[in-house]
Amino acid sequence: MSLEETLNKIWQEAEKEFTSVKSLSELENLLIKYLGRKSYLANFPSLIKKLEIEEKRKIGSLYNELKRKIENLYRQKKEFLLETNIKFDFEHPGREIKVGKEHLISQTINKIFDIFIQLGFSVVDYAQIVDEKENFDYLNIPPHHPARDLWDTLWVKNRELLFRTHTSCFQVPVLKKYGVPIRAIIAGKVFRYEAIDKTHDFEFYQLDGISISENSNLGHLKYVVEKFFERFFKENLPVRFRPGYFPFVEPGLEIDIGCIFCKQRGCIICKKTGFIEVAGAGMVHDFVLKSAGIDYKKYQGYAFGFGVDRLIMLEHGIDDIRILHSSDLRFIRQF
Amino acid sequence: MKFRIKDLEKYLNKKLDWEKIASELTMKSFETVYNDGILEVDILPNRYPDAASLIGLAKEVAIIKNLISKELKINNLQSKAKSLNFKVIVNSKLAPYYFGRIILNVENKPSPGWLKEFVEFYGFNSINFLVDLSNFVMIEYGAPLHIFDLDKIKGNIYVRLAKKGEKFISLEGKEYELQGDEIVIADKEKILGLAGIKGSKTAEIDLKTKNIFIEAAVFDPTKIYQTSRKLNLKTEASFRFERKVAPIRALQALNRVSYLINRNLGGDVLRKIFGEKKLRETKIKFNFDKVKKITGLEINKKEILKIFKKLGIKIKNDQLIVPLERLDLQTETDIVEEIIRIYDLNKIKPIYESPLREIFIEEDIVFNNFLRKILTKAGYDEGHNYSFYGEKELQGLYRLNDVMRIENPRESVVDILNPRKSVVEVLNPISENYKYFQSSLIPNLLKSVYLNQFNFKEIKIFEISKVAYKEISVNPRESVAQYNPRKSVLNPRESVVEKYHLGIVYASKLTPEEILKELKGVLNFIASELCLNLKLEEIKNEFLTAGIKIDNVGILGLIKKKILSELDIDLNVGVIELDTNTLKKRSVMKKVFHPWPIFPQIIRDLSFFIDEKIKFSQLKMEIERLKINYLQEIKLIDVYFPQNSEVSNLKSMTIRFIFFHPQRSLTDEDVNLEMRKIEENLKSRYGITIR
Repeated sequence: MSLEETLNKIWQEAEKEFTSVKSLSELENLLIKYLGRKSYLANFPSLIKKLEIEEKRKIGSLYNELKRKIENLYRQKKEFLLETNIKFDFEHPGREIKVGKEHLISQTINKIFDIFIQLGFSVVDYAQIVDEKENFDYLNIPPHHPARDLWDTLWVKNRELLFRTHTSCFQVPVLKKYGVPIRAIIAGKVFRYEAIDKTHDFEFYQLDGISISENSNLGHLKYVVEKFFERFFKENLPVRFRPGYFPFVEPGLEIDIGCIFCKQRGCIICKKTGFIEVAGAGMVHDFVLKSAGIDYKKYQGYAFGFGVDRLIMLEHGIDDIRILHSSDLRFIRQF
Repeated sequence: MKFRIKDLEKYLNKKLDWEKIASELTMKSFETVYNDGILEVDILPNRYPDAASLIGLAKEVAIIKNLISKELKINNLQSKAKSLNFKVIVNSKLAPYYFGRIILNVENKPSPGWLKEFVEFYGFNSINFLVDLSNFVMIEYGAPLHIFDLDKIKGNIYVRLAKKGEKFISLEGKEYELQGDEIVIADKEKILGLAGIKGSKTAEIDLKTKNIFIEAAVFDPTKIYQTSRKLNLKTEASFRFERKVAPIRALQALNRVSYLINRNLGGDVLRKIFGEKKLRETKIKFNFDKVKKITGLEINKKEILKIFKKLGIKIKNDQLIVPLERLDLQTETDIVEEIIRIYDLNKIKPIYESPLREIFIEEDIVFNNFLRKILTKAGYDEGHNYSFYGEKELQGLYRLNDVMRIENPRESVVDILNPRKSVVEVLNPISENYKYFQSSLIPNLLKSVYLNQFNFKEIKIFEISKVAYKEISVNPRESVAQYNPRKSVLNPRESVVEKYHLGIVYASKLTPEEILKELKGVLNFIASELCLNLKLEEIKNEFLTAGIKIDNVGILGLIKKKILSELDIDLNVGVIELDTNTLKKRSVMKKVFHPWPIFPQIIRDLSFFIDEKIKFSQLKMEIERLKINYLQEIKLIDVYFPQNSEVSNLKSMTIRFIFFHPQRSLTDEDVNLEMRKIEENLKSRYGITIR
């Protein structure tokens, strides 16, 4: 076979092989096979050394052309292989990601905690089964006082203990445990002897906060409440104070926020007032500080409490508390 | 409380825009709604003495609207008739104030239309002119009155405690047997009335009544509260006495009703007012700086003095003297509350206060949230259930918890055979289904399986919630549980313990074996995330088909078919319950880095049949004793019980052996030699058949 024929044959084989190659690593091997240090073509110049000048020039240029052609073949194929050519319909729903969901109540309580931590509050926990002193007496709600009727109590049999009717029962214990100054919140289950309907349940969730220092006052309360609702609803909402009565605060306040549904224009949810009642608050009563053994002439502060369920229902447009309190996966997996 | 505008306007000098007043009252006094001539006011309980009346509310409106409220006619009417030889003997502990007056020769008659309409609007039945007038004045002044037929009283009037067993017959003719701690109004023979609550038939006013004794009293609120609750007798009067009645209003009401009776029904009003005494004023020391201290707001003194004037607060010798009817004003802070609400609560400006101390989050909260992360990563959804269950769960499902009650087995004795003794029972449950506070999370988790099985084929739910139970301490001086014990007063050795549990339920159509494998995987995942080493111990239980006790921390098992069918659950269900408190204490929460080998490992799996009684842990110990070269780790990969009968006493096991050498790459020959040693040993000792 003449050299020219050999070169032609190499080209034919190379063309065939480069066309059929499927992967980048095969392609690299092919390149080595044809143009690598040990290849026939790498050795070719020494073969034509002895040829006539004219013959040498002719074969030499054929050789150079072949090398260029193989290199081209390699480059084209490499470009092709680096390009992924697939067909995909992006309306495909995608694979279902299977993770568990924290219940919306837990998510919300943690969201509330995060906001209050940024506002300088520590987070504490307390018993759900408490005695009358903690739930009532310490909070200036003496026995046989009509104020007790504000809370329909669920009692432990024999009446020695009860299921806490409000998270406010943490106030005196937390002051006793940590002393002053302190700023702390608690969130959790509370219990009432109450009929169940769309907006009431006998077991539900409350949040309570307290701040006691030498100065904590209603201005500080206003700051905390405004910031909290602004961050919770991610919206600038007006906050309104009204007179209220809770035996453990003096002055006592009701807190309203601008209706999030109608932007204070008035709707069914806010009964056309433009405001929604969301919390009770006030300055901690001297009696409570006394119960905790704190010098009430030196220390003072505010406390507030609200229903966690109500905030969740407002935020997410849930109209039945029983759905929130069920473990229905159709509900849990939505959030 | 509902008021008719036409009544209120009689006590104010002006026609007013009530829609506007309602919203102003809401912002400064009480939540108020105006609708069609009626004002509905939610009077705060501490303001009942002064504000829950036409006079009182009119005064409140006058204060916020800068008006003057009208003084009413209560002309002193004095007849020439001599006072009678009649005394009122009062136990002043029971009735600190007991005013009374006698009117002779009245002519009682049915009420005229306007009065009938009035009392009916305010919630009373119209009886006759005399009785209706007393109710009219109660609404005017907020002080309950009671009128007795003087001719039905034998001798003097006594305000005393009832005697045990004494009978009281109400106006409706209902008989009550008294216990001895009720306040009664009596003559020398019989009870005339249950003080502050209801009158008796014995001295009832009727159309023939001529001579009357009018009572305007202030009774001990606590006693009224107790008696009213005990006898389940709630009346307008008892409601007001519980919330306190202002003595000044009682006195004013007495004079007003005397005037109205005399004007409408004639009669001689006797001069003597029984029980009349000087009413003591409340004096409060007041520092003007206190306003800023509490509200953070600078209100100038002039403004404050203006507010005092509106409220009728006088300053005498550097002390404040509050109006006699304002029983709620006792302290400096009470005064600040009055100032700020009249000034405008919404002028309070938000002020930033820097953190008071280092911020902390209590351990339980952090740990529970950590568990939530672990379980959701494992693909479980979090449920929130009620904390209570009923008799069925106590009887059947409770037993599970016997195994759970394991935390200080030496120090405490829990009567596991009698769950009734340790369960925390509710005195007044919402329904029979919520009679007991849960001592295990499993029963309510099973309910959520039941609820979800109609919509989901695979249910993975966890819950972190409190459980509670009673514990009896062997040594009464020692607290049984370290965590939040509630000592019983009745039995000092008994305490109620509550703590957080983590409950996990897995339900699906898969085989029981697959269910247990899933839960075992979950348990391993929890243990590894918490860096825990848990010892497992098989248990027999009425509740579980197959179960293990997890190292005094909890249990894992498969719920018996029988129980599932009682609950109408049509899936296979497995559960885990863990005591998070113990879990937290044991957990080190610190992971140590393990470097991986430099030279490649060689892995060999060995699958074989073996006697079903032999455990992997046994084999593992055996192999470890052989001192096999280069063997780094032995793992159980799979174990199952073949269904065909030929190998009925055998189970199939796959064990993985991992070999490596710290200084060089191992060869197949190296490992083959070691594997042969292992195989031969297992064959000779346990008669395994290689698959």
